[in-house]
Formats: sequence, structure tokens, C-alpha cells
Amino acid sequence: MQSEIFSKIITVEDIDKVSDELDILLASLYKEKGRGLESALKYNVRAWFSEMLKNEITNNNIGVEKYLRQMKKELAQYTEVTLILAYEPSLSSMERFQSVLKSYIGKNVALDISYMPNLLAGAVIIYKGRYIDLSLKRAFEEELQKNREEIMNLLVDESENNNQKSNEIQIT
Amino acid sequence: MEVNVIIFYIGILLIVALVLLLIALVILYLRSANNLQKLKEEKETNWRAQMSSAQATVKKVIEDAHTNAGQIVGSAEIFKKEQIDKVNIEINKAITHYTENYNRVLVNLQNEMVNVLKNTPKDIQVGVVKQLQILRDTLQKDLATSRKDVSDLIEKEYTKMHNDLESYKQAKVAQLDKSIFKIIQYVSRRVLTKEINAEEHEKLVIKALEEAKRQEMIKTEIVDTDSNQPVNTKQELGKNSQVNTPKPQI
Repeated sequence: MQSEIFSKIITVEDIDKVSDELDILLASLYKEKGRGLESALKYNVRAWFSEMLKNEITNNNIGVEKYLRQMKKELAQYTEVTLILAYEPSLSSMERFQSVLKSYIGKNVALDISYMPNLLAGAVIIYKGRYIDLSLKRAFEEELQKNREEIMNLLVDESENNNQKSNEIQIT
Repeated sequence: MEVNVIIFYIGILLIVALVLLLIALVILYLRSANNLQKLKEEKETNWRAQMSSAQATVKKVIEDAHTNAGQIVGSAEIFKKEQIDKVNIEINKAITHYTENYNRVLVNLQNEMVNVLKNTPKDIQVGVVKQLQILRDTLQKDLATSRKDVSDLIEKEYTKMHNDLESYKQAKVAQLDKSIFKIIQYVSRRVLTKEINAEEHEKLVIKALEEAKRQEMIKTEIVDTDSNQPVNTKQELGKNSQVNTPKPQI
């Protein structure tokens, strides 16, 4: 099913919202003697959603209810991927992430994005119950731990150099 | 018949012989009894004569004793005086003798005591020196033991203290290391956080996604278009099954 609306769906929240709106529209079909849908499109759903939906329903010669139910079915097919990021991504960034994931997984993806600044960069990914920490924090800590001794030695050397310098200054 | 007569005569002869023997025995008995009577009478006569003689002798002895006693009592006064004098002389002699002996013994004793007193310090000295030697040895032994004990104790305490100090030092160094490390981490994070811009963040996230795919954490899902449900690669695919994207390169 081709719908412009799906291109607007990036996150899990988007799916929830669209799904709720579809439920409202489906519920309104038999209200107010057939005029409930019109009213709901006007007042109970987001404007862009309403506009897009009207156009698509007009262009497709299938019934409204069938179209809405197909959309619902399509939404249910989305795969959820959780990304924990160190920054708050822009919409364009999220679109890129979604696009990359869609190309990898082979189906529509909804992102569940969390913000955790102490990750520094990169991402923690949770997908189908599996977890992987690919953040810079982990890499950074691993690297630090690996070179801990070297770093500590550097610190000690630096400290000794400083002490020597201060002694020289005192002598002069 | 002749034999019976002979036996008869022999019997009579035997009886006669026996009667004669009996008569002889009776006669012998009577004579012996008569002799015994005579002997008794003789003995009694002798005893009486002896008794009379003894009485006369005793009487004479008593009379003699009485006479002697009278003589002794009469001479008793003279004996007494002489004896007393003799006794006095003897006593004086004895006193003199004993006094001399006593004095001699006393002098000997005195000399002996002097010698003993003279020798006493030496003995004491020797004894004391001996005792002191023993005491010194004992004290030296005790001192050596105590010294060893104290040395051991000090060494033990020192080792314990050294170990404690070492542990404390290590703990402190570890703590310091940890603190320094945390500071380094904190500063590095702050610097990194400030230095990484949104574009770099985005690149790093995409890189992370690529890494997840490389590690096969993210896999291509095959969709069965009949049911529009994802299926496992192990499951048999339906007629219209299709792979939406190429399989990830491993």
C-alpha cells in the first residue's frame, strides 16, 4: 500500500498518533448520519494528516473504511527499533536513521528514540529484544581502561616535571 | 583210748603246773608288799630326823644373824663419818675434774666456734657466689628468652603493621587512581560532548547502525506477502515470499 502518510511516520509516537487518528476516523464513519467522518477529519485529526488522507481517498477508488483499515494493518507491520542517543537528533537525522534501518531490515521501521547525554556519541540499539552498546562512552571507557596504566604514568611524569620546574623557578 | 588217757594226764599236769605258778606269784606279791611297807617306814623315819636337824640348823643361823646384826648396827656410826669424808673428797675431786674438763671443752668449743665463725663468710661467700652464678645463668636464660620473645613480638607487630600499611597504601593508591581516572573521564567527556557537533553525532549513529548490522544484530526480515508477516529464514517461504532488501554481507 502506497501512502504519503507513511513517509511522515518516523517514530513510535507517530505510529501511535496515526493509529489513534485512524481509530477516530473509523469510529466516526457511522456517526452523524454519514457526516461524522467529515467532522472528524476537520476537528479531530491533525491538518496535514487530514489533507493527505482526503487526497489519497479521493485518488483511490476503494472505500474509505477499507482504506483506513488497510492503513491500520500497514501500521501494525512496522518494526520498532529503540535508539538511545547522546544528542537530540533533528527530524532529518531521524529520517536518515529510519531510512538506513529500513534498508537493513527490509521493512518499515519506527524509531523509539531516547536521549542520554552521557553516552557521548554513537548509539545504544535495542532491536527485537537484543541489545548492543555502540556508544562512544563504551569505546572511550574501554580504551581508557586499556591504556589506564599509560595514562597514569603520563600523569605522574607530568606531575614530576611540574614539580621540577617549580623547584627551578624557586632556585632562580 | 590210750591216747585219751594220755591227753587226760597231760591236762592234769598242766592244771597242776598252773596252780603251782599261781601260788608262787601270790607269794612273790606278798613279799613285795611287805618290803614296800618296810621301805616307807624307813623313809619316814629319815625325813623326821632330817627335819629335826634342819630346824636346829635354822635356829643356829638365826641366832648368828641376830648377833651379826647387832655388831653391824654398832659399827654404823664410824662408817658413816668416814664415808662422808671420803665422799666429800671424791666429790671435790670430781668437781675439780669436771670443772677442768668443762673449761677445756669450753675452750675447745670456743676455738671451734671461732674457726667456724672464721670459715662461715667463706662458706657463705662460696654459697652466695654459687647461688649468684645460678641466678645469673637463670636470669641470662630468662633474659635471652624474653629478648627473643620481645624481638619476635616486635617483628610480628612490625610485619602486621607493615602489611596493614601496605594494604592501606594500596587501597589509597587505588582510590586515588580511581578518582583521577574519574576526573579524566569526566573532563574527557565534557570536552568530547562539547566538541562533537550534530553532524558528527549523526555520522556516529549511522556508523553504530552499520556496526550493528555487521554484527548481525540487525538482520533483514523476510516478509511473506501472503500473510504479510515476517518469517524466519528456516521457515518454508510461501509462494509470493520475497526478500525486500539484499541479505546483509557478513
